[in-house]
Amino acid sequence: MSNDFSRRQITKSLAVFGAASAFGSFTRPSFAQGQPIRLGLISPLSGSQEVIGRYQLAGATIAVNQINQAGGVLGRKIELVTRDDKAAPAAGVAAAKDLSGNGVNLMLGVLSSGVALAIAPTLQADKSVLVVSAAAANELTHDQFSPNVFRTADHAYSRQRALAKLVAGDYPAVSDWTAINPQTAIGTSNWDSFVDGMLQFYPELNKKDPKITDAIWAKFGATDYKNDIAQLMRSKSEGLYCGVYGGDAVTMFGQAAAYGLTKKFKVLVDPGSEFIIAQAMGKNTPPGLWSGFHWFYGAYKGQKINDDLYDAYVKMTGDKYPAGYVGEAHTSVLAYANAIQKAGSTDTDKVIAALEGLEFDSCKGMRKIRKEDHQAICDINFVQFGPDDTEQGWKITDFKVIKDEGLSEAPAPGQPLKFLYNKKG
Amino acid sequence: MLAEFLSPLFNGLFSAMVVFLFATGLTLIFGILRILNFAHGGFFMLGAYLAFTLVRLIGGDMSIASYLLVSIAAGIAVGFCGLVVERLIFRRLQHVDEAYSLIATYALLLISEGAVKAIWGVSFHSATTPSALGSAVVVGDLVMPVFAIFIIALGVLCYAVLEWILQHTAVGKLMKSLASDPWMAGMLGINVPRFYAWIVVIGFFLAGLAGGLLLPNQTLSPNLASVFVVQAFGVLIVGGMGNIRGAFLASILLCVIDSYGSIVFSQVPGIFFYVAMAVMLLARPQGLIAGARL
Repeated sequence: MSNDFSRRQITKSLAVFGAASAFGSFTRPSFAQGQPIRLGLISPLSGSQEVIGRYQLAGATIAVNQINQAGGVLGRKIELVTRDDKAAPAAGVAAAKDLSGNGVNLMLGVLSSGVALAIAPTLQADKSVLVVSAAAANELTHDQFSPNVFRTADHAYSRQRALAKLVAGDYPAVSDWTAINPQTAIGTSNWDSFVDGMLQFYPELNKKDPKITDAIWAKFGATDYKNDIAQLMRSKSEGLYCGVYGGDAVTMFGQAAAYGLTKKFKVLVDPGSEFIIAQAMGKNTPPGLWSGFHWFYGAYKGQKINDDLYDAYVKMTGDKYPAGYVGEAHTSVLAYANAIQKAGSTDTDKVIAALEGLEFDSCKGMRKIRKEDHQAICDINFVQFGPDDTEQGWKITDFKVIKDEGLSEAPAPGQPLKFLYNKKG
Repeated sequence: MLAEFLSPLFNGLFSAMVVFLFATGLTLIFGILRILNFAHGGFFMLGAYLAFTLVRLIGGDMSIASYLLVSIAAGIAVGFCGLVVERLIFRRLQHVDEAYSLIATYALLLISEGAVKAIWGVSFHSATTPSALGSAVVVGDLVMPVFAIFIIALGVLCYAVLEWILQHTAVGKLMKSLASDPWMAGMLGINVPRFYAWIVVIGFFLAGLAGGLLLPNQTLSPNLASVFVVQAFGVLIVGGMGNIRGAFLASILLCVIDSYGSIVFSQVPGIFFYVAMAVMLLARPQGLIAGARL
């Protein structure tokens, strides 16, 4: 339940965990051939997003440890060098500069899209690479594309369109949707992508058009949502896209309880709060809430990389509910390991060439990094939550794995994303 | 139609009382000690976490009585922290430049955030509204949560009690005299350091109490320390720098204007608090209630 583990615990765990057989392809008989390969993890290790940064640190640490247990890459150990970006663009750029200045040219992590977009233009001059593990902004693989940036996680467009496909298929009677969104770039991007998906998939699956009612825009980090909730209560829509996420969503749903908001709407969806709402709200978890996940371990039970990662995480932290960020940071390390193995080198240009078009196995199955825009094509996971009578107070009632078949846009690096269906987007 | 007009007023009043409850301790300490306590949010957060822990220990649905008792207990615990802070830090800040108090209280804020992380972790938590306050009053299509009505009533009561103490009791007169001329108060035989210590304890008690009372309304995380700070300082400045009546009026004006602004200009939510603040300071740079502390 708790993710309140310390960095000391993670460091200690380096000596404990391993799953050598899953990483056999990287093995060499010894580490005698050279210095460790240093990978720089840029993550919010303090500040408002520290909780997510700890997940990323755990995932990357487990991957590094597993690879080293299996013999390393090219006969060399991997060493993780961490830098705190505080989820702030300026701190992120400083972290990237610091890493490249210290000879760490291969970087990963980054939660905030603002941080990723700030770091991206600096990488070419510094001859560094960044594999983004979470930041979902569409711009990163479009108008602000950098040849030195890759994204191994799903992005806003594919995730939100997948969510639209899910609700269009599972809730055909719910055709009228509205939203409450944070007034941020990613809030707008998520909602536009969801609408784009609804306008495509709802007519395809149900032979009629959906109705999309204008969204309500809330201040990011707001402390009071009552005006927004009052407006939602007057809405005639039956489906609610709750674009405010994380702690803001907990505040919003907590304040909405007295209004009966969760009873008013037939379907509630959330772009990516993962376990946060259920763990914070317990018995008050909105019934039937669908939440987007970077990786949901329960969907891949029986797959070795997934199971080994889950077991290592639980052993490391005591927490039985790893957030998807654990899996995505783990995946970014695996992407580097595969690319370095393929390139036979840690040279920036060679690693970039190896990452382009790379197909590799991960905690949620095979992924392919598109050569053109450096976006990974991968599964998209959703989990449905509800309240429960147990001490925990909540339970998982369902989950879905949606394959990215026709969800992601065609690669268009350097160009703005064009919504095919949502002409307002 | 009724709801569209009255709902922002009701919600603005609720926000106003939330900010006022948060800001009372801050206003009291600044009004008398002239210490701009940046750590106030940290101790508000500490109160909320302590109340959360007590609620968990009690378990089950909270009654109004247990909710109030838990909040008072959190206030007392934070008030005790205030005593320690006064002895160790605030007492040393009274004869130095105000810049030092900003640095010292900011450091204190960081310490309180660190303590919360160390004790409760960085995960999000929330508490349920007491069941007796969990419903809503519906008038036409206007929905008013009972909890919000309760907080508005508490805010007004808190203001009324503080106003009565300040204006009509010997203690209040003593506080006002100390705020306006501590040297003269000392010359007249008042134990100024001890009085200051009590003011800090009361200010911290109010911070902890507010943390407990507002627990069902907020998500708990180590960021809670900063969520109301900007609004509270806005209220402190517009109200007249350390004036309880001014802070009360400023809370209502700023929050109600912000509430209507967020409805009318929905694409820029939250900005009207600052627009209103700027306009008021341009119109009355001395604050709403000027010339008299507390």
